[in-house]
Amino acid sequence: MLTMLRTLFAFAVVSLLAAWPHAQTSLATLGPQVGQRAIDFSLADQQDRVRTLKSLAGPKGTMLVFFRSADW
Amino acid sequence: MQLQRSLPDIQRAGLGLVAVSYDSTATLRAFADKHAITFPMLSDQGSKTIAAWGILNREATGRTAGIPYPGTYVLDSKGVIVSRNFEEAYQERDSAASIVAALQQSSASAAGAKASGPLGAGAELIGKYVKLRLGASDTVAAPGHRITLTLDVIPGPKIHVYAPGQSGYISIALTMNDSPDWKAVAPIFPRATPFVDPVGERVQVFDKPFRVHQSVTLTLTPSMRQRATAREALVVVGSFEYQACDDKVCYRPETIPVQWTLSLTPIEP
Repeated sequence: MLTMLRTLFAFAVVSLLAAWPHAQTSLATLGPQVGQRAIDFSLADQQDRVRTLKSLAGPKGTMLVFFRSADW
Repeated sequence: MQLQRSLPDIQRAGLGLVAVSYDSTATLRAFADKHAITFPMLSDQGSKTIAAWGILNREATGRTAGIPYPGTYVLDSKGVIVSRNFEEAYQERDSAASIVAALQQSSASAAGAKASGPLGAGAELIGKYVKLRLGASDTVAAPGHRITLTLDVIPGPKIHVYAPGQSGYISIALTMNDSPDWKAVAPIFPRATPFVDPVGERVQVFDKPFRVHQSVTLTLTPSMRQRATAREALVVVGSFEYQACDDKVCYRPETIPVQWTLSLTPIEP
């Protein structure tokens, strides 16, 4: 009985781990790396004006934040 | 809104600030109006740019399909990436101000410069042989935020203290208290100055003001979330230990309790 429960438990754990998103392991290699040049883009801002990433730089560069949503 | 709050620090560092999400411009306009946003929020509806940058979360489905792995890049004036910080655990992220602090810290140590940058008006503590000034990248922070606490140590006249990793002397140490409210990693000390002590030993000391950086992550417990909704204060506590010596004698080590008071704010997108 105990062996069966232990096996079931182990199976449940392995299944959960298999279903868990693998984001954690590949975050280090995700997207462009330090030393690479950023890809420029042009998108509309909150006032419907089209802006390019390049044009939004300050004298020393840019902080670019990717976030999930403004609507959650 | 945390980015808007950090905007002065970001601008002081000479950086432009841009935020990108998959929201429509209408959604962004409503958000920007609600939070009095003064920096550009760009609409990557359809997530083409997010995908082109290789940060599309392909495991997000349904209503959340199209979201990126949330993260912050810092580019230099030529568009070359100088830092990248991704959300390693859900809703745990480096605050923008702490990213700016890290940039300044790495450029300062590269240039061999001393402690610099305002980093929040700080409390001052007076020890027997040193003065301490406390600061933080963010004085308002949400659960899940990783912020940088700073400790400026100002040795008294003719006083020096010992850099970590030396035997024979009590080295400086900053130890954060154990708490369910924060997680702390090892503090970061700047480069020390070589010194030859009275018995001819080569040691590493600090004899001028220097800054210690301590990163802490505010935890995402139910208690923290509740207190954040109520905008309560959070006191982050630790202790600083050192042994002071002057050109003649060494004094008994001293331990100074240190604490930083933050205002909690609810988690944002």
